[in-house]
Amino acid sequence: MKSNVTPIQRQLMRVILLITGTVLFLTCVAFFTFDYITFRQTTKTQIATLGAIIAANSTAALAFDDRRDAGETLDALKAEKHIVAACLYDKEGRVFSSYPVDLSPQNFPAKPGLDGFLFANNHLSGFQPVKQGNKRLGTLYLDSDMQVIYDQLQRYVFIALVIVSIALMLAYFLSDRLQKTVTAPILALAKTARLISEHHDYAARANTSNVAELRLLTDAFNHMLEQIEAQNLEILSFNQNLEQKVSERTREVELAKSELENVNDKLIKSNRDLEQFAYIASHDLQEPLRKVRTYAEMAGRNLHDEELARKYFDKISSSAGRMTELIQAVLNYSRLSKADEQYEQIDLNQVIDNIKTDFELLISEKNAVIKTSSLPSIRGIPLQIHQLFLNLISNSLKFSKHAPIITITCKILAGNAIKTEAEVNQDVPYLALTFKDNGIGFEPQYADQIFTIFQRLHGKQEYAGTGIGLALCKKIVENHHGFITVQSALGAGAEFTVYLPMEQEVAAF
Amino acid sequence: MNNIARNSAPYYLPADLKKGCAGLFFFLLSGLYVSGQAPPPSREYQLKAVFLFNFTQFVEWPQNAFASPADPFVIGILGDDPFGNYLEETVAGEYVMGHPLVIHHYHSTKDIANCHILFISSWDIKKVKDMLAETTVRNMLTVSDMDNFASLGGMIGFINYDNKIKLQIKPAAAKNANLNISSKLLRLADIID
Repeated sequence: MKSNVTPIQRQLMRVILLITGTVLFLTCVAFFTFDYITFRQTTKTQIATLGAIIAANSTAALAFDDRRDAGETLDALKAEKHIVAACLYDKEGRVFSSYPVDLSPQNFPAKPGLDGFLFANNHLSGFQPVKQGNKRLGTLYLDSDMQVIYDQLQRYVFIALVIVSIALMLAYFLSDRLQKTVTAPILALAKTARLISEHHDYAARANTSNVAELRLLTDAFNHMLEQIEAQNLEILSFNQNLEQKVSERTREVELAKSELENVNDKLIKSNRDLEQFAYIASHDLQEPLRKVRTYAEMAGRNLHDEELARKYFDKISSSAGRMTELIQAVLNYSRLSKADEQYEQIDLNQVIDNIKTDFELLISEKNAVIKTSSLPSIRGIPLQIHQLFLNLISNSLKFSKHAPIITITCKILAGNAIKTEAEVNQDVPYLALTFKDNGIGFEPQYADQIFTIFQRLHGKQEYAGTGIGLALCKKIVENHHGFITVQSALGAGAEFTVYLPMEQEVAAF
Repeated sequence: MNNIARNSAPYYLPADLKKGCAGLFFFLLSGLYVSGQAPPPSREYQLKAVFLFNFTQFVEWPQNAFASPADPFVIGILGDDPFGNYLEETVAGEYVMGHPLVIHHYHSTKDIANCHILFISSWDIKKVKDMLAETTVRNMLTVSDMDNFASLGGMIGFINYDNKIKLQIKPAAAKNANLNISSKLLRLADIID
């Protein structure tokens, strides 16, 4: 398929040549038409004038029958080359004289026709009355051969065609030369535009032209390029900004997400704790209540037996006391959840000394030995740390069949050196406190259970206790962002290790 | 006009064979017509009659040559009339400068009055001379075919030359009579000073 797109140069050339050609052609046509009509009219007027002059000069000759004079008058037509025949008729229409002298009779009409001149067969011929005053004396016939003049007109047309051709060629060369002032900047502009669209080089600029509209176009084009370039840069920086912002947001979201997950985990855990607590609390609290009710009923039935009734009342009182103890322990436990106490510097040796004083009676009763190495000071909540040590030592004292030996040792470990499943801040040092006893111990599968509230491995009759002690320990350690582990075997004693971060401010991230 | 065509036809018969039959017919007709009248004038006098009429076209008369617009234009013939009826027929119905053309015959110079063209046919030379001396003031064009008429003081004379009628004109005489002869006419004629 042929394209309809034409280069501007050819288009312009076509327009210029078409206009020039059309104008020249129309001018020639108008010129020749006018010339032809004018020529015919002029010729007609001329022959009429000539006829009138010849007629006026022939009157006397006709009036006085002077053929010689008539011949002389007609002979004056020699000056007019295109008059090929002339004839003078007298009043009666007879041929009086003719021109040229040797003219044969078939070259003019035998009798005069109507006055006036007419064109026919490349000839202009006709009759002119010969009058003296109002008196008609005869008729003049004139015959003009137009062919000579038509030939001249043809030559004229030929010359005009040659001139038109030369003018067209001149127009072609001139327009070829001159149109470049207009087309060159347009072509340059088109080339620049093509290069830009091919290479996406918006830094390129088109050269300005000295044609007003083209300069305007070029300037507008360049201005557009500048704008595109600026916008490109803007878009680029905007994109970078956007990417940065997106990554920032992503990071923030991720952070928020991990925080949320953290909180969620904590919530799940605390929810689980709460469920456990509610279940066990209701179960454990019901037991002394049931005892109170049973013994109260039995006391009621045996009021007559004072001794039996007193025994039952003692049981009731003991159960109530146990309940109070339980409720107090629960209260303690729940109080630990509210971590509003202030951290302080605590000397752990001081804590051990205080506990030894508290358990003085029990220690001497059981012949227990508590061995401690020198312990450092840590930051913590004094009451809770005291409770932690108290519970752990109490636990070791409680679950023993013979003289208990409790060894308390400590070491400092880097966070990243601790191997555990629990949550550890890798960047801070931890204090590892080990409480080792020679008590009854327990089977290793219960290692997790023993830290659960009200979870007991033994009956109350064998070993007294609320079942809250170790749960409290775990809670306190967690409050201090640490963790607690236990290693034990049945009959082989137990070894509790408490890991506490050395610095609470840093640990509390 | 019909009369002219009829009467002039025979002279051109040999020249126009195509019109021959028609011409013969008219010749016979005219022959019959004129048989009871005066015999037709010779071709020479027929021409002279036409010339006399044609002078009215080539000569200008002053306005005061006519007493009133209704006055006729008079062609007078002094002496014998060589034209027969031919001159009357030629000028019949014609007007010159709006005046009807009439023919008058004079037998004595004393009879001549208000005449515009006077043809002197045959007359005594001496009487002619006398008369010519008188007529100059009367705006009268004098024409004659007598020898040396122009030299005698006449204005236009007919001369036979090479079987053709030629004109002799004396413009000075015409000018004296306050008449203006056209240069076209003068071109054809021999001028007598």
